[in-house]
Amino acid sequence: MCGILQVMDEIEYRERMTRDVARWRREGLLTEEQERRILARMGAGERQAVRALRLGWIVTGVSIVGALVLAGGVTLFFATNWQEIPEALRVALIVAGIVAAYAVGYALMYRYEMQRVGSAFLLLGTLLYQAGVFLVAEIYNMPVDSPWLFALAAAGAFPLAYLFGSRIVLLVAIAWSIAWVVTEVISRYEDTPEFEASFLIIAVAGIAIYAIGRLHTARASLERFGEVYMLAGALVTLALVYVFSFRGIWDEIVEGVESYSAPPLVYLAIGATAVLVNVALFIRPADRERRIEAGLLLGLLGLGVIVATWPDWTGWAIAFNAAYFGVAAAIVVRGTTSGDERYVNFGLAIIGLGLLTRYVDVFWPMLDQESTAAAFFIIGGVLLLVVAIGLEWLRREIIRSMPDGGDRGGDRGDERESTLPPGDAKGAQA
Amino acid sequence: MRPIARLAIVVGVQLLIVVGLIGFKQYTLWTADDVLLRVQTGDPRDLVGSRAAPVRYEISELDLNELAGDRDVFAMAWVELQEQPDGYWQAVAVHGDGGERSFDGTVLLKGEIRDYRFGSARGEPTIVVAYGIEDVFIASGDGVPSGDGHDVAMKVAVDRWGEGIPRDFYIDGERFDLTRR
Repeated sequence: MCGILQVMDEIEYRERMTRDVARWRREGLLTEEQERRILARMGAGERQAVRALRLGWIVTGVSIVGALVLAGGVTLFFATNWQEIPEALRVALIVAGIVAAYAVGYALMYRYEMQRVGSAFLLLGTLLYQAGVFLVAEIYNMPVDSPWLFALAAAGAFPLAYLFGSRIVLLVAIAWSIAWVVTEVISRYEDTPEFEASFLIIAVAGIAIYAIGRLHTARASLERFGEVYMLAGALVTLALVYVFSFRGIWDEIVEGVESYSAPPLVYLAIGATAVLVNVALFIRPADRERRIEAGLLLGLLGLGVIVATWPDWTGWAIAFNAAYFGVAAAIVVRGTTSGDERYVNFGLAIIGLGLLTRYVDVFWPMLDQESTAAAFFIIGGVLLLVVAIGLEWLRREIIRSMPDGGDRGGDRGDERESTLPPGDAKGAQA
Repeated sequence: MRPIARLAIVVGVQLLIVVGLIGFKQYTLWTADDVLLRVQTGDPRDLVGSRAAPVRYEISELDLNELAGDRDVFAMAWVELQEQPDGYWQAVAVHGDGGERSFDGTVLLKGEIRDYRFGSARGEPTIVVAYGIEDVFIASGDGVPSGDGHDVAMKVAVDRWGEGIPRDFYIDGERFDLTRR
């Protein structure tokens, strides 16, 4: 087994190197001659061999899309023919589908050394399992929006993610966990005066997921998972901060159209998450970047406490806009200081979305006249192009000023496509 | 750990969850109380097809003036049902807490209060309650009679937590399969 894994490591390395070399060539860092010599040095001098190596990520992409499409098709087939199939056969089909997907995945990975396609079958197995949880609920006429079903769908995916080192399965598991929190909040507080405030729980859950990711980065063997948690957590929190940045929500709360009363669970969630953030900081207290990050997260939690307690202030939309753009700027700065291009791109994308939203927010009410509608699009288009030029210029300047020329993002981005875990757990690639 | 052992753990955990879910729901069904609830509809064919309106039960609207139990129910209500001589179950009391009962031999069905309708001279409002058993329909119209004057009911399994699980439609005593939306 060790021999196979070493060969896989070598293939992974070559695939990554061919992609990096091509990118460096495009960016003008290498001449064509230098590119050719590097490829020849690593035994990939033949044009056909280079092409084959560069196909690796396409195989991964196509396999994952194939698994998603197949899982969707199977679920749709069951959903449309569910009533005609006897109940015992339905359960048998679900179990057989899960076992078959894993068996094929295992055989492809460990018998036929087709890691990428094999790992896509493992992903398929998990998706079928998750569909199975909901289809079983359907058999018993349970409401399919029951929060417990989302929790069970997530719980079954985590072991696969960790045992086979699969980041895409981990992302799927985190997504189901977030869906669990959302459905739990909705089922508990819908049609109650606490509904609006209860959405703070989702934002806090995002921060908690981010802190869990930070805890993962403390151990080298778990660092690759940490990035997935942190990305998911950041997206969830930013999405909620974005929602709270709209003035309409606060206007209705202040005017009493929407009642607003924070349930105790909001404070409990904030307290527990603050502990988690501090534990993550405690692991590496001397790290300046960590201290700033922890301060930012605790600041957001503090904002949550204040807004939960005193919601009827007219300036909350401005405060959340400030928080949104502040976090985005912090992500860009972090990318600059750590030399990681991915953070810069992510932060700038968030800033772009925020600017676009505020533009539409301000000018949307003027769209009832044809002349103003035309002006809206013309001015908006020009502004977007100007902003795009500005952001692109800023991005280039930032990347140019990075300690190692912003190389890290690309390398690590390629690493992401290969999901082979460290050590001997080199199974899943999806 | 060998890859096959890791895969065995993954498959074991996932199948345990699926089988556990089946076992839990099966046990719930075995130990649940079946109640027959009267459905309010002008024409049974209105219940046919996925576009049918949510099912309205006799207990979907409850006049608190006519029931025993609590008066200040908020958000959630546990409706105490009692079997009548004709086999149908009717509301006899409403509670704000699942642990309370006013009568013996009754079943508690949990519901969410969706609306309060005031205006009764006797003071207490009428509450509109959703039990989570409304979004069901009859998939095929074969054998479903039309017109008014029919006896339409739903058999509902009520578990020990007060959750209702719709089982079958009954129209003039004949059973029809239901589909959940």
